[in-house]
Amino acid sequence: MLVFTADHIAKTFNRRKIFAEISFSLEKSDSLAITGRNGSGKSTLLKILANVLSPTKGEIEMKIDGKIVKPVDFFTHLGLVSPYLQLYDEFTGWENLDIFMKVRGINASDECLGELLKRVNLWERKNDYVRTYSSGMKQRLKYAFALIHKPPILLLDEPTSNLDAEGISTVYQIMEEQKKAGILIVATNDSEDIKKCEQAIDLNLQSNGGSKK
Amino acid sequence: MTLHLIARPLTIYFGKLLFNLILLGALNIFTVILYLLFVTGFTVGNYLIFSVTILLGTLGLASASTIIAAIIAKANTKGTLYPVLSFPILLPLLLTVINATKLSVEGAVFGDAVGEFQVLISYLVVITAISYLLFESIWKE
Amino acid sequence: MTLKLFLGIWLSLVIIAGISFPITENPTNWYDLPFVPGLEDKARIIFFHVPMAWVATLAFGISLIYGIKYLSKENLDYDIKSVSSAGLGLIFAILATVTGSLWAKFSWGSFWNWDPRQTSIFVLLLIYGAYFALRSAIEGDEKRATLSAVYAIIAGVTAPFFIFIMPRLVEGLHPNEAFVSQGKISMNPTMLVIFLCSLSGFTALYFWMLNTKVRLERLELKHHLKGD
Repeated sequence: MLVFTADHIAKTFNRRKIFAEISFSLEKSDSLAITGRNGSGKSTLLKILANVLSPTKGEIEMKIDGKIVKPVDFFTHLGLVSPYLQLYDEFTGWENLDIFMKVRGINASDECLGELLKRVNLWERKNDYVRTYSSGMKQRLKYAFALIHKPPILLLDEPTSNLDAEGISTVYQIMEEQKKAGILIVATNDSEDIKKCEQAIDLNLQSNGGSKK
Repeated sequence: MTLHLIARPLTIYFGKLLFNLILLGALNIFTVILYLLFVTGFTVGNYLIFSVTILLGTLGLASASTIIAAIIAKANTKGTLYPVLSFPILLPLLLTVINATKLSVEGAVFGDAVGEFQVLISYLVVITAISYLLFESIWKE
Repeated sequence: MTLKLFLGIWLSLVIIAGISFPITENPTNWYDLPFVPGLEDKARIIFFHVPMAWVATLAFGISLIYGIKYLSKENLDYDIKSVSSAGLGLIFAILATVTGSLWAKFSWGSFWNWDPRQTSIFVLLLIYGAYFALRSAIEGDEKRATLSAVYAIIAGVTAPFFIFIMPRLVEGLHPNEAFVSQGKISMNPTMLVIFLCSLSGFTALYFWMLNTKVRLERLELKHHLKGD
């Protein structure tokens, strides 16, 4: 049992309204696409959902097996891939994942990590410093970062940016699997990405609730 | 933002605090050794007062500077902000520590410095408690 | 408008009375002020210095309360109130410092002696100087409001330590004893009336100024939002 609800979320920044009245309720195997022009607040909304940013108004509720998860603990149950994410350039890809795993307090085996790196096609470059990675490789490492704790909720911001055809197909595969295992929320304007989701919210329409397609 | 996604705010706060504690502690011990070795005429009359002062001073300094540094980390123009913001906050701590060190050098008995230690301990408790309460609002983007 | 006029007349009367009422050794007339040993004519400063210090304390207190309210409600209107009050507090604190050091020049011989009170108000000015420096260094209204409120609270909890520390370090010269003995105010009735009128007058002045400033800030904000 997994429920993720946003209740009348609004955000104002510098006293300017970015969006208002965003509400939706998602359950296991639901997927939601958040669309809207540049500057309509897609990334902001994702950050709010991840409890990195607090909303000006409204509440977000996460329920797992009937138990309400406190917002400070959201991070243990969700993964986020975003252009704003910064990984540590001074470490190798492997070290990055190793550190995040240890900070999160998960005891995944080396095979698990290797599995993940192979999945995002970074196994051969695992011992190279992240600063030598291309933007596409960094994007793929971010997927490994977001999936390391097998989160029931996955938030993707511009999921296919900087990726080649092979990378995009990996991402679509990850999205399909996430839809089976939990909740998927994607902020994008790419029509291919939107097609993968069952529900959609257009921030420019400020619509109430996810309209079924 | 990466850290926001892998840990609770208070975990981050205590991590930073621990780092500052170790850094300042090492720095203080190093300075004391240099003083004892190279500054002629510097003798400590009461080592108990002296070491308690160093300990409490380090703790207080680390906790106050951690929370001020957290505020400044979120400011856009960081530049010279740290001394400006921290000076009035650190002043009560510094004055008390200077006074206590003076007592220890003069070789006062422990009872004379109890007042100073009370101030230092309450300063430490107050700053840490308020940081604990306020760190989350600073930490959120 | 009538309130403004009334406040103007009230404060004018207080100032006239405070400056012109004669000080005599044996007060007989209703307008005679008593002779305070050690203070003499310089005692008149109490009608201006103490209310300034009081209003500064009040203003900083109110600023702090609105800061805490902002942190719990995240309504930017509280930030407007908080920063307006802090600005007024700074003005009154500077006035208290100036009137205090004028008095110090004639009583203690120099404008500045690092007396405990002077040191404390100096630190207070530093704190609020830093507060405004911090505000100017942050972009984004919400972030500015949050961080400055947090700083004000941290400064607010550490400042009281001076009350314990300063007396241990230096002897105070500040003349509270002339008017306050054993927790009770002992003042000649005429003096007390002028003093209380001044205190209430300046307090009312503060609230009027705060109200005006908050309204101004709100209007500027409205204008700013329309302009975009």
